[in-house]
Amino acid sequence: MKYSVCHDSRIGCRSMNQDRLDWAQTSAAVLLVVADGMGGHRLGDVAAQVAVEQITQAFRQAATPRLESLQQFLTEAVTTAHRAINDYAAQRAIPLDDAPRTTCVACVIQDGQALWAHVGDSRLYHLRWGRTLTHTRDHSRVQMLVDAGQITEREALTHPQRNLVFNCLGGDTPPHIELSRPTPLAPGDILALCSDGAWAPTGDRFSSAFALPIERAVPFLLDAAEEAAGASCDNLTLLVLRWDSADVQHEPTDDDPATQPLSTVSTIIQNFADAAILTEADIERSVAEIRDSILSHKSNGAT
Amino acid sequence: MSQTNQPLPPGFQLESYRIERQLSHGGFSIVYLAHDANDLPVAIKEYLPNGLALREGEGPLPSIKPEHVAAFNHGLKCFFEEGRAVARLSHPYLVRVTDFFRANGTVYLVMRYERGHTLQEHIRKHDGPLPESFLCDLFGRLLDGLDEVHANGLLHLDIKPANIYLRADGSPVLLDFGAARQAMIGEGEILKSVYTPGYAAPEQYRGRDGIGRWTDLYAIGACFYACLSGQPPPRADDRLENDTLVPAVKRWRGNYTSNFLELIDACLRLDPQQRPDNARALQQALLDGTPLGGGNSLFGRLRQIFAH
Repeated sequence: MKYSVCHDSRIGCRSMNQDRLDWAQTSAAVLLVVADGMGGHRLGDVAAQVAVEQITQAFRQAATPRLESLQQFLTEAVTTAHRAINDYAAQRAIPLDDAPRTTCVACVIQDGQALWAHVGDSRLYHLRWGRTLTHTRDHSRVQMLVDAGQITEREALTHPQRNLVFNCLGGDTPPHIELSRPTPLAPGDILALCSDGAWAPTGDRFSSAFALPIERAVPFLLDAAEEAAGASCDNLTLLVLRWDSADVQHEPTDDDPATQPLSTVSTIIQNFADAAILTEADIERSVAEIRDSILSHKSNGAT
Repeated sequence: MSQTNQPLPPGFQLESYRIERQLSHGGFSIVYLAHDANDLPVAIKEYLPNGLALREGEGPLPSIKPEHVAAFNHGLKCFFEEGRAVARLSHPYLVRVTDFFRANGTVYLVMRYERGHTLQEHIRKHDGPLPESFLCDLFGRLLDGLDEVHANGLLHLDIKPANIYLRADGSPVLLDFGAARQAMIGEGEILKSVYTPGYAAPEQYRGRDGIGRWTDLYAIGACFYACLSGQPPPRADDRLENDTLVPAVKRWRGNYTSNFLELIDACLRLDPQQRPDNARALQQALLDGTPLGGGNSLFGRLRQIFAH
């Protein structure tokens, strides 16, 4: 597996950041997760934190290094996260109907296929060549109005009830976990997980920013969202993975989720130890390859 | 340890080429002027890393100690990378490779021999800052070549006046694509990537993370700066600590158009995101005399889309 990850989370104009994100990897599988703690309830940040921790921990236990079933993993991990939030509330004698709540979107990748689950209005976008192939449908009041044809997607962005979410982790109603289909990834594909603070202000223009390399697209989008939202800016979180290929063994780095180098610099030498092995046949092949390349230019009449 | 290699002697017959003389000697390779079978001049680059492969007098075959074989092979792979890169490029303002072959236990890259002098020499010989019209014309063409490099998914990573050649007709040629792939052998055979202080962007000091087209554009900005001041700007790693760079708009106000000076400063921004997005955008801004970001760069276009 070869891919790059880039992310950022900002407080916006709120007094605290209740968004959380994390990602984890083994040699065979990747997990991405974003949660947006709900402000209308107490301890939204705790709910988001517990959800992200639970799901990441479940991944670390289940991916050895492969996950047996992506569907089963996501369903169980997200359900466990919901229970863990309610356990937290119970331990502190918080009534269940007042338990902390969070939205959540999580994605796992294995064998070049992605599968994601979401609850609420945190989104996953799947982009290819700068176009949105799909994004998750929010479990929100305005999405229902859009689906019913009563308002347009554009109107939904400014609708007064846009913050009403009817599905979440934590609380007395068990979450409805919506699972995607297994989705094959192509080289260059983008998976962007985000809280509503990151996607809503820029709306349908969101995908166009990914014409930039991801390490530039992430700050660009967050800047643009902050600017568009102005003084009412919500917390903003964006976690982006750029898929390169399934076949190359991904070298697990340390735990630091730093941006991986992009493919544009692949001509730079990577590993001295690998390079030491060079057979006579390798040398002959390289020389022949370069000679062919030179000859093809010459025969094209380019001088 | 630091014995230097004997170059092939004048008159040496290297396959179908006859060596005339040595042109330069880097730590990694030797460049010769030679003549091909039709007696046309060519430049031949020989992979011969100092300290790893030693050629001493007698025959052309270098000796490589067993403990240096791995490092030698690593460098060889780098040389192949350079060969692959330049062989793909075909552009009037980029160095042209005409042949690649094995001989004498090493490999050779043959290039068209360009007559003229480097921009470095031009700066040194020219009294005072170079005129704007000359620079716009020169870099306008050079950026055409750089755009071709980037369009092929390659980065140069060592653009500097010494690597920009001026032909007798005034057209430029971008030389030496070894930098990105080339390795320098330091103490204990630690291989480092090559960069030139003053021209290297800040991200080059931090290894290979964050390197991109914008890294080459920083070097272009540094070249402009050197053409005006005679000296490259301060080292980027020093600038990160304490930025003593006097912006071009301040230093040469009144002597050049403000658009031109602003473009130089834009290229030299420490934050890659603040630099022009690509060679084509910079070229347009330079030649049209229009400011950047006004719909030229991808970044600028996106800013406009998101502003509404």
